[in-house]
Amino acid sequence: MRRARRVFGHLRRAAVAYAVLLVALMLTILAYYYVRQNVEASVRDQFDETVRAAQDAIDRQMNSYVEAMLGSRGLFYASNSVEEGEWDDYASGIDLQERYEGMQILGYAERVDPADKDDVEEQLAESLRDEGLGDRSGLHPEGERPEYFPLTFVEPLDEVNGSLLGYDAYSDPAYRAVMDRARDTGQAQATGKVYVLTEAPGGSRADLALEPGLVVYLPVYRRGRSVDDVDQRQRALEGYVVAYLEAEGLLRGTLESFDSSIDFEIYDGEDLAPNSLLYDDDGVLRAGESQEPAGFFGTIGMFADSLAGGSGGSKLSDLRQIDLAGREYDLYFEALPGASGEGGSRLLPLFVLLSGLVVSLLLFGTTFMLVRSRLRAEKAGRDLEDANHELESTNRELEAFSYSVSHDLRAPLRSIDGFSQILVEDYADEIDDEGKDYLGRVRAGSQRMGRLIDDILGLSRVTRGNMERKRLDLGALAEEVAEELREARPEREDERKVEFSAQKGLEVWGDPKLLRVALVNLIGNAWKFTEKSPEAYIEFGLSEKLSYKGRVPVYYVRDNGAGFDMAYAGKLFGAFQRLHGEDEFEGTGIGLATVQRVVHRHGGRIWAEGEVDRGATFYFTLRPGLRLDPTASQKEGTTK
Amino acid sequence: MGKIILLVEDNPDDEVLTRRALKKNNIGNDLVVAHDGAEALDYLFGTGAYEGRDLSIMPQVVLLDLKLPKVDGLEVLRRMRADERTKLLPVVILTSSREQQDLVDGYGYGANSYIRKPVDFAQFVEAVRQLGLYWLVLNETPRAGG
Repeated sequence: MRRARRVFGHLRRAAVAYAVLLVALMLTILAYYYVRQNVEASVRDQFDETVRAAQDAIDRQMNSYVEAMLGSRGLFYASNSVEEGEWDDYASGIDLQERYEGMQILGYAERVDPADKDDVEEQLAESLRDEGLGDRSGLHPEGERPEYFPLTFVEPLDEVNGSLLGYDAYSDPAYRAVMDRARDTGQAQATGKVYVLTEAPGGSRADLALEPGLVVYLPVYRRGRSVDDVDQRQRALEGYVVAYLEAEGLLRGTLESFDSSIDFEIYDGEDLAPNSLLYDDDGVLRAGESQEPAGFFGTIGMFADSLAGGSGGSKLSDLRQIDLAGREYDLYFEALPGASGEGGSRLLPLFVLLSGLVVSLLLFGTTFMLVRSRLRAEKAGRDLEDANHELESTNRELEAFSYSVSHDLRAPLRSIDGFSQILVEDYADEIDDEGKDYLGRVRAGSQRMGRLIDDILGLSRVTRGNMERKRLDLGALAEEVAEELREARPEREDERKVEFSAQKGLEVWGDPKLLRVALVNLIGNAWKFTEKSPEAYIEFGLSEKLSYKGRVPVYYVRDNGAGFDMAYAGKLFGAFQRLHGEDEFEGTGIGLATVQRVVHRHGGRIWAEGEVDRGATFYFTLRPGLRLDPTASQKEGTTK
Repeated sequence: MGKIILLVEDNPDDEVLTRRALKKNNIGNDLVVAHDGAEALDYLFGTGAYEGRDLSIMPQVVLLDLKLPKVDGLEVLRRMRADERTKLLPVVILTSSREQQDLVDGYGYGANSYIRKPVDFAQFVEAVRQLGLYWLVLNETPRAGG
């Protein structure tokens, strides 16, 4: 429950970061699908192009084989009878074995009536003997049939093909149907998939091998007979040009030039089963098969492939019908996984996906950091506020404390002073002069204590409390303060009259109450320390020398009074520090400390120059600024 | 006839010193002393210990300290000014406090004068002399109550 709340809180605070992550991920996925679609489309286009080209090539190849058959038929139309020698010549004339690699046999099956059967058999047996192919009756399989179509010419006539000499394929119903169709249409017609006897490929132990292939029949009609309809064709039939085509030889050369990443498979009819397979490019049956992952690496490969756009579920394949000499074959194409020549473009979507993910995570990280630092800043702000509240309450406590001090600490002093006075007055007879002197000291002490309390309170008052800055004329304020001092000390009006001058129009931005306190102390000090000077002179103004262009204004209060030894200048502004004896000049030693606090609260600095009996000058600034005159700060530093 | 001065003061030393300062200045008026704010209010309104007091006799002037037990001086002043009978009574705040805020509050609540008790007894005597001269001799007060 608490955990859930924490997670929820985290999500709420970092909502922006998660929104950025979500948007970035969505954009990544969109880009991935877009690129993948493009790549797939271009791969599909290329695939389609290849498929079309392959189909055309197979068509052309088949046509060229049929052309060769048509050429051989020409022999029969050119002369009354064709001799075996002529057939042989034709075959070598068209360079049969070189140019028609897939044509295992180019032969002729002659139509034989039962009446002529014996003559033909005899002839065949003779030619077998002539060729040295053994001694056997020519026409096979044996048996009585209404018509016979024994192969009478076979090219090339070698040991393998020789076994087919005299073979009557018409006895086989499957062949008979094809042959009848050829006869009736007048066109070349192919059988379905058959096995063709060939010489075993090199390296094999057997002498013979059965290879998938097909047989094509081209009808030959009697010379000069019209063959306009089926009936006429049936009666005019003389025999067939027969071609045994071995699929491997027929197609290998044709398809070799195409993209090796595409597999071709040719099936007899619509049944894409292994036993109807005519030709397979790579020896792996793919049509109608769902691929089994081949172990661990196969799985990885498939996964990567599906991400890269291969999309395992819909592998790139195509099934086309192709007409091979009047028979429909199924042509199956399939893009092989992985081994593509354009692997680069196939990997592009994967690259887009991965880099998109990286960028999304980076964005998320960056945003999260930003959000976190903002939250921290807010927390820091709240902490600061709390600290301020605390400070305020501390200030209130201090206020109460100093009120108490001001009120309660003074009451006993009044008692001490008052009763000492009463003693002196009422018991004057009983106390001798020495006793009266002591009582006088008690009174002086208590009065001094009273002043100390007042000054300490004043010091603390300038330290606490809010600053309320206003624009004011410091010169006018100094004049006011001097006027008050003049009224408070009327005894100095005649003798040792104070000459006071203040520069007017010195506008500053400060707290009037605090600045008044500062000036009362500074000018009051000057008043006090010029008491013994015959021609007292006090001056307030802006120091032209120290406040030239670019510097903060430096104000000063100068007198020609008692002055001080610069060796003790460092002690001037410490609380309770005095450079003069109480008997010389009265004071608590808190005034200048108070002035310093006022100046510091305005962000300024204060320092002094003086000489014994030659007067003193106090300089101060009221805002932070550039470094002051280096000589001034040096003096300030060396006096420590 | 004897004009009465009401001194509201909790510190016995200050009471003695005030009495002496009055005597020194030959101010012979009757001095009633209340030792806290509550007692002062009792006297003024005839309640508590002063139950049944003749309220037609009101002090000529009230010398009021601010820091008092029970009810503080400013509260006493506020209640006096809220009541018809004491609304116009002259009140002089006589206190140790030098806080600016007390001064402002004092006049704000309707004090007629504000005097800070100096530590120096001689100065205190002088201050009492002046306030006695002014409030007891020179000042004319309208007749309050009835």
